[in-house]
Amino acid sequence: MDMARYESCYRHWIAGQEAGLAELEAASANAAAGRATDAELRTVVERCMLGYQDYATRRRALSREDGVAFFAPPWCTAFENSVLWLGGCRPSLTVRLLYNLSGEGLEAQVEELLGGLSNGVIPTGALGITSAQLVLINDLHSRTVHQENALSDRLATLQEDIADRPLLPIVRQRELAAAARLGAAAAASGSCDGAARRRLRAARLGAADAEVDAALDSYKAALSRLLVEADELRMATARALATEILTPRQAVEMLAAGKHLHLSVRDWSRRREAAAGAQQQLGGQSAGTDNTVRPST
Amino acid sequence: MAEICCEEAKSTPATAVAAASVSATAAAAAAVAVASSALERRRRRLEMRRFRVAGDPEAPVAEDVRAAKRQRLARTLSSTCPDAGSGSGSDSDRPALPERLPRYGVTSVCGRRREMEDTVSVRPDFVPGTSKQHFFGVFDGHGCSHVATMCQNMMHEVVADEHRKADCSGEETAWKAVMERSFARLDEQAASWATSRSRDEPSCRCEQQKPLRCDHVGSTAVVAVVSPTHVVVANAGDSRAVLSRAGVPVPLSVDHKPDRPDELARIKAAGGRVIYWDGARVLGVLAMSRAIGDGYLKPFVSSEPEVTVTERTDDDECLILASDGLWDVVTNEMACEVVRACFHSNGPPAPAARANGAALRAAENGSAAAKGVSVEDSDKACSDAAMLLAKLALARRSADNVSVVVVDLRRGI
Repeated sequence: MDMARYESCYRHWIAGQEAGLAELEAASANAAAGRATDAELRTVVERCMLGYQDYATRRRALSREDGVAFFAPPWCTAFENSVLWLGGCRPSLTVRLLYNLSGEGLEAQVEELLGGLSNGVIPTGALGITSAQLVLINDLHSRTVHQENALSDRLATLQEDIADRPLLPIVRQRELAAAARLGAAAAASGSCDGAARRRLRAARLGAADAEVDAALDSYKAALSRLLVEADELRMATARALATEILTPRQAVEMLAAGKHLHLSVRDWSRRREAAAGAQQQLGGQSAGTDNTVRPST
Repeated sequence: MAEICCEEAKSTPATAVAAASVSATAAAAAAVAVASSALERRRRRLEMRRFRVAGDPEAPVAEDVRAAKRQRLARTLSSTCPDAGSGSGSDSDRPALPERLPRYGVTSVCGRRREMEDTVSVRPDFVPGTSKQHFFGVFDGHGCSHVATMCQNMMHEVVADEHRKADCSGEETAWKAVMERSFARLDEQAASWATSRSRDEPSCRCEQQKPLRCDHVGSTAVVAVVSPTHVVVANAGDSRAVLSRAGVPVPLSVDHKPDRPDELARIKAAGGRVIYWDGARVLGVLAMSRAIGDGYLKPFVSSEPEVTVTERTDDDECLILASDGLWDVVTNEMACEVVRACFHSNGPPAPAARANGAALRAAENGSAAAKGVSVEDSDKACSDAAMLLAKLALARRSADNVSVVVVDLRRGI
């Protein structure tokens, strides 16, 4: 395994997110000014989708080497990792994000409607989500949650299965072997069979190590497959919204908001963890000057 | 002429709009041929519509649309074939079409929850043998969705059955008894659900837990029966029915909250307690004092509905039924204003507008949670109002499922 390559893949993705956000924001400004056609906006949306697809493809290849790394990536902050779902963002969050965006401006438009100032136009909010679109979004939400739950259940099964068998039996076996060694140590000094018994125990422990390695490799491979399927669900949900349900202008707004949220959370959590690290350093220095006092960090 | 009509019928396009235009073309051709034949065909189409609505109230929307297409095609074929005479004979056996089917809009969205536990039931002409009585129900499940789904599927049948037994002629006391017995029957059905459930039905979340948690499941139920002269509302729980009369909201139900003084007194008299845990809760568990189901909280959580019988007036504008996902964030006043504004925006419904809106209404009413909704019965204004109220609830950060039914009660249009 090569952690540096995994982190490099991630850095490349972050750079792509930043460039993509800039492009989406420019497209949004052009759309607001009436300078962008639907075809142009659709091209921007498609480029964004291809960026996601490319990242998922590269992750798929790397995760075959070490699927575990992507579930709690050491290149992310603890906070970032706390909001990961199966190594990435939770797909149903996209729908929640869209509900937030679609509500913007609606209150003011409803007030205009009630005041008789809207010329009979039914309010749709600043984003302009129609009734038909809301029905489709609601249906997609239900399907996505259902699929999320299925993948979460599979992770639970994996975790329970590996602990239940073979890891716990091996742990129990080692406990028994250790106890036997203590007993044997006393007996060995007075018995000519001690050497033979020690050789037998060593052989059994070697076999157990091979079994542990096989179990861990199997678990990692299963996590890798789960990551691939989770990425596919993330892609499918984003693509359904961006290319099937929303208009190009709406898709640009949604994708820009999603990238902005991702990059902001990353920046905020890194700043906080950098500050916490500096605090740790100060504590360390003061400890160095007094051998008898320990800092209470 | 007959062959041309048959060919035209065979090539009926899939979309409702195109189907409507084909029907219009057929009508035009009929008008050219014979005036009396045109009248005959119009009567048959009207009866076909009545038959579709009354014949299969259980069918979900998608099947309803397909059935409508099959009926339309079959009727067109039969009316242009040599045996049209015998068809005419069978037509005369059908009951007369009611003056007008109800106009309503329905929206039901999961919103910010992960589980959808709301259901909606709309059953026009739901009492067999009589007409002009229409059933509307909103059910907000908790703990699981099977009680709300059961109410969606069965409540209208039980009410119709009790109505028939009571030979109800509309008196307030008679309707109260009908509703109380209906709610009691659904409550018993919920209690026996775990043991009587068919093996073929998939088990749901509550049943997969050990010990069984089916007794921890329940649903609100707010039900309205709308007739030409009255609106009957029966409510258990904290969903709500509101009438808009001359712009003033008239509550037809009062939420059953555990800290409502009379409910609190009833619960205490029965030996229960109301504990405040993120709001008032019966035994610290349930945030409403009445519901269908919730066997383990009985007798403190009662399924007995409060029933109101309201005489309709010319000032009545609309009836709104909704779950607390709406009412928690939108006042009665605001809801009525929104509906009135949507009515105003759409103007009085015109016959010509109906065909144009068919495809949009099909999309708008596609939610699987609203069974019994007929695309052609839904009026654009009501649909706009229901959807706008749901959007407003989401914009105001409602944290629950949102279900809204808007019924147009205006007369003379």
